[in-house]
Amino acid sequence: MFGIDKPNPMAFVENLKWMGIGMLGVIMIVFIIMLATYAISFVMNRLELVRQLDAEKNESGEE
Amino acid sequence: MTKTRKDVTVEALKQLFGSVVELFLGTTNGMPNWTMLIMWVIGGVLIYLAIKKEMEPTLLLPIGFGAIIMNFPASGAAEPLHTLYEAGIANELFPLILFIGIGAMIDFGPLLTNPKLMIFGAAAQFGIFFTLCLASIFFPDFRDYASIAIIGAADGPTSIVVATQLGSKYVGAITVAAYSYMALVPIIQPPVIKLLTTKKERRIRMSYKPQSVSKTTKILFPIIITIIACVFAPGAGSLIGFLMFGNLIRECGVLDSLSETAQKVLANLVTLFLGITIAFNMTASQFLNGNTLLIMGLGLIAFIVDTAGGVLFAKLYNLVAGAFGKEKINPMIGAAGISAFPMSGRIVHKMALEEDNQNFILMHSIGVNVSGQIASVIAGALILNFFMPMLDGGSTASILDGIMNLFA
Repeated sequence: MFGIDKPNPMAFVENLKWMGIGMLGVIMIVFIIMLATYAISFVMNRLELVRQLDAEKNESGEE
Repeated sequence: MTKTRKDVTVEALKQLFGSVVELFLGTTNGMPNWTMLIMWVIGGVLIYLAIKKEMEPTLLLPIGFGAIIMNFPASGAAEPLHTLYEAGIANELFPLILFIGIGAMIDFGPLLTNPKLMIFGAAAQFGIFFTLCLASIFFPDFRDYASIAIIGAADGPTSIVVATQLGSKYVGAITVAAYSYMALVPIIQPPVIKLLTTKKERRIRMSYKPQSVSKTTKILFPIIITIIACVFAPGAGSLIGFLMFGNLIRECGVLDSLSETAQKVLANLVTLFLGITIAFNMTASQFLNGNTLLIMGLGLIAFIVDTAGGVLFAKLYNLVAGAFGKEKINPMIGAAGISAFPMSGRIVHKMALEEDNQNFILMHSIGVNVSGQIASVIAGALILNFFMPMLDGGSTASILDGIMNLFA
């Protein structure tokens, strides 16, 4: 009823590769998302700046 | 032969108390029926924790009540719950729909103003992979140890999706462990954080420059994350896709009523069914064994190692930042990388205020906490990616396969 399977300590060592690949995978994907986020923010800020400059130009042209 | 009044009375008593006798003396699936009484106590404890301690009441209460009604010798609840289980959990529908609601609740603003915080969310997933190795010592079946590891994602729906897709026989125990420890984050995390940081480190102040994030950025963010996650972790589409779909509804600005419905009505409705349906797996014969206790223990270790991983990574960052003369961060924010949102972020902020009542790190800790939500889903998708091919007797897939598939 309360039986636990016989422990196999070697399994820990055998599965260490998943720890390595898994953490590398998570960090890699998150890093790519981070770079993409920086890129979106950069492009959007630039576009916003251009838009503001255009608006200022238009305003000064009207005056 | 006519029955005497005594015979009739005995027969009536047998009919009336037969189920009681069956409960104490009978067996179900090779398990003595009296063990069902233990499940009533467990159900009662879950209900107590939900009501009295307000620990994840939306889930622990239905799970607790479900554990009671599932544990009778001939429980009529088994059939409807089985139908619900097949309709909503076996095909992962409920957790995925719940993800739409969660996505609609999350504001990625704090993360978008400081994207470097994302890396701390990734570091705090260490507990998942450490627990995977640890669980493999006790559970020879990869379906079980990979599913148990995902308790460390501190994310109920991800735990359910991974355990169900892999076909673990411990879905009930894994779900209860995931939700219980999520509720226990305020108790589990502070001692670990205090153990790994000095008072001076906990007092580190972090500057916050409020920046406005454009609406277009907020709209593009969920779309781009989905594309990246699906490219690099094939199979992540279900997990990350539903989460980001919910967020897109929130941020697009033209679906406010849908966003509100997803956050409130939809999330509540699915949670209601999810909790009681999980109880389908909480029969005495499935739940009462040493393995369940072991799963609870491994889940606790996963949460502790997650917290430690996040804090230690933040300390490592400070070492490197110190060497380059850059601003140090408060290492406690690393602990917020555990996905339990928003509890973990708030706890870290509270701890910083306890050390220094002028130290406001809420925006940073919530930013890391939100990134932990994304990273935990990615970790879950990667585990599915690694182990799903083994279900078919094939070899394991890798992230490189995803990249190769894209260009093949």
